[in-house]
Amino acid sequence: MGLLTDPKRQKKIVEAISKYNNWLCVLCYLSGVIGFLALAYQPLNGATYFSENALLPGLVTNEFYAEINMNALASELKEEFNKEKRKVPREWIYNHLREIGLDTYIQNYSIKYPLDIAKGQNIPGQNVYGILRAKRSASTEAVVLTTPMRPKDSDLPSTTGGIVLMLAMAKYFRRQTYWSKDIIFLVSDHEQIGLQAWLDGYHDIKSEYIVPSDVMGRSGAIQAAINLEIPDGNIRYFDIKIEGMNGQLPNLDLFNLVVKICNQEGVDVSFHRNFDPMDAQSVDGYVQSVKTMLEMMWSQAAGTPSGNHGLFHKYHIEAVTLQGIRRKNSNYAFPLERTGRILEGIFRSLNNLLERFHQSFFFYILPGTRNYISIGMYMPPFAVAIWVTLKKDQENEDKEKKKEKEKSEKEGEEDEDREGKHTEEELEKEVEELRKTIMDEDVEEEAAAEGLISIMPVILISLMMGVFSYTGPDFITMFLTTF
Amino acid sequence: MASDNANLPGGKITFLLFFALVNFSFTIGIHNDNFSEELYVKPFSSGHVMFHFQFTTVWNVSIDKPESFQHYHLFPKSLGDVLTTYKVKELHLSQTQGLWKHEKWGYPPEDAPPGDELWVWFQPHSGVDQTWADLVNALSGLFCASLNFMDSKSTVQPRWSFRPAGLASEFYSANSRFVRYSTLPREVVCTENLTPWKKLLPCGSKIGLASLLNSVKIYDGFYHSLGVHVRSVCQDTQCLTPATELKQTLTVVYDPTTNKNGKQDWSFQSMFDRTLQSQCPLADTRKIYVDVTTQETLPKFSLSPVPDFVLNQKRSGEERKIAVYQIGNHLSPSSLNLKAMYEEKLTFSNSSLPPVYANRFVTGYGLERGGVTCMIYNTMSSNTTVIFMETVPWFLRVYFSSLRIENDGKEIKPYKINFIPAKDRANPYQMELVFRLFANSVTKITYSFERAFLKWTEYPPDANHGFYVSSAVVSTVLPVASQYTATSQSVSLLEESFSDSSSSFFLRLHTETLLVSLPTPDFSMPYNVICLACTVVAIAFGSLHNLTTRDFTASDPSKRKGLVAKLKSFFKKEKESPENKPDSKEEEIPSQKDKDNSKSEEKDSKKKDGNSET
Repeated sequence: MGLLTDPKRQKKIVEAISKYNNWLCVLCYLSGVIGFLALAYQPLNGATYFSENALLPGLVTNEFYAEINMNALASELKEEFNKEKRKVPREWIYNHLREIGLDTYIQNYSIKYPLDIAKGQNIPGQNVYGILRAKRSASTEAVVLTTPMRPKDSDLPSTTGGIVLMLAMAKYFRRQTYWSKDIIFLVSDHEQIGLQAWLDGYHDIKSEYIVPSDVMGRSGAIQAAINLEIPDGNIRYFDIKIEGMNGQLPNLDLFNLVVKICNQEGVDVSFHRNFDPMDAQSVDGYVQSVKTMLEMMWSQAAGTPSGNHGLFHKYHIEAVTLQGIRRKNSNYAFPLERTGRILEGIFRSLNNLLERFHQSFFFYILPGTRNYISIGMYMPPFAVAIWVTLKKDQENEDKEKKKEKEKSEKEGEEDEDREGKHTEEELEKEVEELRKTIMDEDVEEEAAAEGLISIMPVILISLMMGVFSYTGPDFITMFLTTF
Repeated sequence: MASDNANLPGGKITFLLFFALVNFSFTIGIHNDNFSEELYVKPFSSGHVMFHFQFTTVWNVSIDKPESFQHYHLFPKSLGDVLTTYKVKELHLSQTQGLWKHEKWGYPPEDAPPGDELWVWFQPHSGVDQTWADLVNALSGLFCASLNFMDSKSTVQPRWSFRPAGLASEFYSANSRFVRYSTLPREVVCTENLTPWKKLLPCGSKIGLASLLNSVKIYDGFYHSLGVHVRSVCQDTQCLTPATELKQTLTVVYDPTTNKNGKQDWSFQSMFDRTLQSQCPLADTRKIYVDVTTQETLPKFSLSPVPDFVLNQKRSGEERKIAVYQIGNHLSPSSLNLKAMYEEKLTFSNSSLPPVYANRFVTGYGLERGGVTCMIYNTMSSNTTVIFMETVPWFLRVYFSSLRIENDGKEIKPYKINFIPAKDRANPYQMELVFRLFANSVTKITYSFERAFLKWTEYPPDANHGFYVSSAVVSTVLPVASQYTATSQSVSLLEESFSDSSSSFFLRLHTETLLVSLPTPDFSMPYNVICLACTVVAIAFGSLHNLTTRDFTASDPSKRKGLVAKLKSFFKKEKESPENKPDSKEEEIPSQKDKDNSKSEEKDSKKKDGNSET
């Protein structure tokens, strides 16, 4: 019977493997890594597609037009921001949302800062949100449009464009009769903490550090969320952010949807600030794809969400961030109204959803906005690379076994020479003793290796990792450009 | 009429009797039933406008005597037949699309949960469960709804929440054996439900108020609810003889502020795309009421045409002004297009809250456990007692131990609890709690549940959409009539309930339905592939494992055994066995010698084993 049961062949294979073990390991590792990087090459990965038919992206013409003067509103909002540097104009937003006719609420929460600087202090915060109740629906489902409020002295780019756009969208959406899901317009405070408080409050989850107030207006199960980080005007293109908490990703269909609608409206989209290469099969194109891919993995490995959308994923709510990137000396900027049409397209597609997002991939790597590497494709090279550690471990085990065997054989021979007849019990005792001695030897060896020298490699490796994480994927791509 | 009944089977006596009856009815000029059509319009401060149509037929025969349900005049025969066949005493059906927002709109004339709701009191008889099953099938055909899915998995017998609304003896109504309650929270209500509902009306949908019911416009509304309510009422104030009342209601809420100018203007033309051209000649009462209490406060509005008179309604402290229109007075020279014109744009403000309202939602995340929280708000300055009823499907395994009623952090002990645990695939969890709501406070009811795995055939085609949990029902008696619009229990018409002098008002309100996702297998191609691959591996594993772990020894092919050889060896064995190999028979009583032999053999083998191991 075959390879496994034929002891002779088995032996041959084992011998061959153990003879070239190190080389084999190196080969495996290299081929794993190379295979992995090769996946970024366009012909080797797949083009994205829509798995969920219900989305029907771009089937309708987007008709959004702002009924309110968005520029005037933006300057009004800016004035509000300028009034106080550290405060955000919650009341202003609240009043505007209510004027539009939404069910508007303010959610209070307090943060108990756990670290030493402000330990024990309660920092209050407020989220403002309005719920557009869909006609004829029983408020069982909802989609969320959210944007963070950033005070004037924040280091992060302003999001006034997002807030103004949200108000204009709310006004336009309320007129429409086709909504089947409630739409929640949420303006969150304190970046991710505020949003976490809102999500905790919405799902009634108790937390030690973020305490949301008990009473708040609610809708139904949230199906999807879009987070806006849009500065006022002069937007050149959109960057899509997807990485969530602990590297969790939204369903690929949602990402595809955003890309598709943006393309349809003639707006450029980037992923990790990288555009899709013109010629993906050229060397330059390939390098760009690899860079995008590694940057995405890097961001996932960090475990922190790359935007407010990242907090939704835990609740099985698919979410992405649309970040408007502005260029100072650019003539290509497009008006906020076009962003509105993009959002209209996205929300109308989400409105069509009959089920939660479940069709497409949750595990994927993106080398660009229109290509993806599914889990089925990236796992084999990864497995080959990781096989090295298994092999090495096995090798060590084999060595130990060999040692044991040699020793026991020696002693066994001696035994037979000394005494031909052994009772069973004596034999067992001897075997045990033998094992003990071997164990002791091992322990001694380990003890000898202890000391500073033994932890040196660990320290060195961690130092190297530090340097590596600092230089990041740029280093790898730099290295790649050389060939 | 005479020609209609002439071909009735029967002898001379019946014919004579019939003649006498006809004479009687012609001479006195009355039938024993009457019909009225009413429309109640109420604008809300949130910008919405409610139109509540109520068509009431009262027939002076007792529903307890099915034999009296024979000569139909105004009462629909199709429904009457169903009622008598299935021994119904009281029937309440509502078909609703949308959620009534109590915080904004106060209380509706007929509170209904999203989807379909049916509750029925049966005449005392055995085998109510079977009658219920037959009835829902019959009604499902009659109203074109999936009522036939109201099986034992969703049907309960409420003990306190659903008492008879009409005449019933104390002894009968105290017994929940004859009541069945069920809901279909997922049911979508549309034109196909409106059409059969209209067909029950004596005047049909071509004349009278029902001609306004343009399904295209009605289903563009914010909320709409169809209702059919049958109960027995008193014929007169002395209440010696019972009558049967059929109340058909249609409530529709529009949001006129979404139009271009942002004003709350409404008219028949804009809301129904029709004007009222006729009145139902069969109806005794044909009236339209418009709530004009807020007419003088901002934003002001004016009605056209001018109402016949304005009624000052006083209901336990709550004063309302009702403009009344006799339809007949307004049909000539042109049709009636009732209009309200507002002077200014609506400014959205917080509307005054009703005395008691509730909110319910799902808590937690993940697909293993979850919870449900219901907040009941009491905005009155007095305590009140409520009955909270909840029906939870069996696949949400409710932990009864986690049920808590809290008010401001303090736990409240309910006066009464009726908890019936579910049986898998048989009946739902039923919970009825009676407890006190303190003045000006929020009471929070929470419980947690575990999400069950369904069998793979039990998932609906859209398994990832989630599963619906029907509304909870909160019943109470209010001491004030603030924002209360329901007709009083003792009367049939809206008109009569405007001059209601009672001091307590029964209120039943429904909370939101919930959408809960269950752990769902991935019903997709990769999932199927994995399943298939696993099956193949499971089948192949045995033989592979056998092959790889067994110790193979070479056998001499020359010693191939034929039948003769086998026989020979069998006899050989017989001969040899007493000395060398112990036979199975002898193993049971082994001789001392054998034992020694086998021991030494074991030793040998062990020694060998030991050597090879070390």
